[in-house]
Amino acid sequence: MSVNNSTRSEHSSDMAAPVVAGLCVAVTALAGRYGIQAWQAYKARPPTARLRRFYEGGFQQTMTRREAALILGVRESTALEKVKEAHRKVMIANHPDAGGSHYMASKINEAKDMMLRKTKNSGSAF
Amino acid sequence: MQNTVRRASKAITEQEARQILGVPENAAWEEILKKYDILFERNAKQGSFYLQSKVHRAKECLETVYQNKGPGSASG
Repeated sequence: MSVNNSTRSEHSSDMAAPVVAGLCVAVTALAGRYGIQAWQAYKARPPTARLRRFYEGGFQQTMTRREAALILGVRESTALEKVKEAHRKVMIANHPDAGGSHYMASKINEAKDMMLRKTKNSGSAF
Repeated sequence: MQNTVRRASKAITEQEARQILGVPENAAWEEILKKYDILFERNAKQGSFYLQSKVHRAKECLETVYQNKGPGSASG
């Protein structure tokens, strides 16, 4: 018994298009909603660890200008005033009286001296 | 597997690690962690990334030392 499928398929092709379209809209809407929720969750999550890798090892045996700049968080070419500002800021964070270590404080001071020494270039003692 | 000596600084020693964190020879691990937390946080907010790294490496180094020392302390 052959069933005349042509009529049926014509019927279903008439009905299929809007159904498919409706499904597409639904899927898109759901995907969009999920996407927005995921984005908001991502923004709201607490800050994760730095993406940078920590520097290796301890301090250098002899401090270089490069290390001094790194310690203070400035560039080697940074202006004097900014270097002093940076020194203050970093020293506050590592002050021995406030829980910091003397070793770190001395390194920070050494770094400042090195940065100021080279920048001055006048050769005069302070 | 040996990493070539590309980094300028030598590997951190236990002595330097203690100096960085400002802890004495016989310090307890809890004390070290406390100092680490303070220094790490402070440098994260107001210090330089370089200094933060040193603090981190110092703690890392001492962690190994203390793990080898006390079988009951840290898991390992």
